[in-house]
Amino acid sequence: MRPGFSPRGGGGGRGFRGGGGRGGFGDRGGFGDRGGFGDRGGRGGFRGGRGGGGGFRSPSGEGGFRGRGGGRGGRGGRGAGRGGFRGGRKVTVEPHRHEGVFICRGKEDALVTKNMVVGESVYGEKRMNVEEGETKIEYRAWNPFRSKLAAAILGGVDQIHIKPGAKVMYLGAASGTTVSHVSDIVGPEGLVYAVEFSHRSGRDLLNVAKKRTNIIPIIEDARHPHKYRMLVGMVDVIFADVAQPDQTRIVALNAHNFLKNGGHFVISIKANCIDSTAAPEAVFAAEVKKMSSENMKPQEQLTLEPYERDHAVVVGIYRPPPKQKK
Amino acid sequence: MGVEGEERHDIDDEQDEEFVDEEGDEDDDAEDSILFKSKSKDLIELSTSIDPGLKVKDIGGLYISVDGSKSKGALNAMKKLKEQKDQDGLMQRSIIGPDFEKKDSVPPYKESKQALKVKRKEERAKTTGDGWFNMKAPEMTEELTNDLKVLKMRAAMDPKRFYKKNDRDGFPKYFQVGTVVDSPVDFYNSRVPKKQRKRTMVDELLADAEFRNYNKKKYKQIMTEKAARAAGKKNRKSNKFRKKQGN
Repeated sequence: MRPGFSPRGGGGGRGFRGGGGRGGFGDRGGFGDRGGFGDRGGRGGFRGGRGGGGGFRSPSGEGGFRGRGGGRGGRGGRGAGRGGFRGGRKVTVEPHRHEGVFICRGKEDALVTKNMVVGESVYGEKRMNVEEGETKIEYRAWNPFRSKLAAAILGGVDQIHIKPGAKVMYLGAASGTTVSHVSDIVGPEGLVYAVEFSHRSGRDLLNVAKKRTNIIPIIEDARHPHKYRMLVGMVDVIFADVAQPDQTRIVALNAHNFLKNGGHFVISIKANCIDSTAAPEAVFAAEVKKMSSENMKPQEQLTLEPYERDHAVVVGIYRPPPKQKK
Repeated sequence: MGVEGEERHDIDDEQDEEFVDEEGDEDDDAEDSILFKSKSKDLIELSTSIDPGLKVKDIGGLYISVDGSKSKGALNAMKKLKEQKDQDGLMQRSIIGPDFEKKDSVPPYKESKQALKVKRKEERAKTTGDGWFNMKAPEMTEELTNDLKVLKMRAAMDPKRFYKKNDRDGFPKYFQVGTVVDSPVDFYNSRVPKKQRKRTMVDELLADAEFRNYNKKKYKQIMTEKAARAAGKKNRKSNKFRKKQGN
């Protein structure tokens, strides 16, 4: 590995497998015939049975966060009693280390973003209302089990490069749950180009984009950036969550077309989707190597261990500026 | 005689002249007194008067008073003097001085770069800036500090809930207090009824009977432990003392 770039938390965290499975989050990605990228949990009803472990849930084990893809169908099995975020409770909201992201503290803590569309919940997430004199501000809880970006932030990623005013290209937008949070972060001055191939989840994405003016939905194959190049300007960051074997190539294609020099990319890699037979670490290493050959210099890698199994997020810079010689 | 007479005449003339002058002076004085007739003494004082910086009368006269009862006046006077000095310091910066009317133009308003920098920094510190959508630093009231304290000590609130240790000492500078919005999808047990809603976290806790019970129990337990420890210490000490005496 080159200096300044080292995978984090790769080795130790894998002890989770085997023993009782992952509490509450059934295996994902085994649905077969889903078009395009979106390796999402699909719509409701796919929730696996609750495993014995349960150690991955929020500290209380009740209320709080639920698995990806679970929120839309029946909301069965919600823990009774006193969750951290019951309606009407008082909480404080304070800024997170990353720009545009906030932390909400009550009996439990949650990652939140400032809601662009006050009074609207995108996928049934909790909202927090703040009244400051005349103006009403609202924050939306961001579930790390449903969003890999949130998982990366909670995992302690150094930089997400997505901040207020940034122009972001989001590959693999799916139904627009994470996209809605990214649109919250970049705010009214930023832009999100949300690319999704599947028409089915693209429909939900369109509904999200209807209310949020800074999202530009693109229902196209991200492998062919020339099909939507007339829609997209230069972007600062590319976030990719496409879960395809040729993911790195897809990101590189889009980076060559739209990413500015010195722009950044954030790629979430699911080891299973790239090579289900090889060891996840080997898969991640191979992907990182591929990136370097495409003028994309990886800077950071971390696993999403408690939130996703065998996932890694790689953050890097595209065509870094030459080093100044002293 | 003639000389004397002349001299007398001269003197008379001079006297006349002087008299006339005096009359004029008196007229001026009268005019002044009319012009500056006012109840406040300060208005009569002219700007050109020399200020020695000491008001002897206020200090208590030139004599040092040995009388203990009257010595309080001096402190007061010193305070006044200090205020005066501060004011003078402020007025030194003022462009409207005694020679203001003589200037041909109003001097431009100028602040030093340093002062501007400090001012800008203060302004910037009031909010988080664009990065977090200009979240303001709230004015810390007792209620707010109490809520923050509750958040800090939340690990002690519930025996069945465990937290990571606090990642900062002290309180956050920028924060907002919000309410969780209840969604119509939520069932009753995941929202607080309207009547039981409270204004602050502390009020919420005080309304929670279970918490108060637990708190009371814990408090008693800690107090008895402390008392027992204190008693033990006392015994040990006294024993030692006795042993030493015996030796």
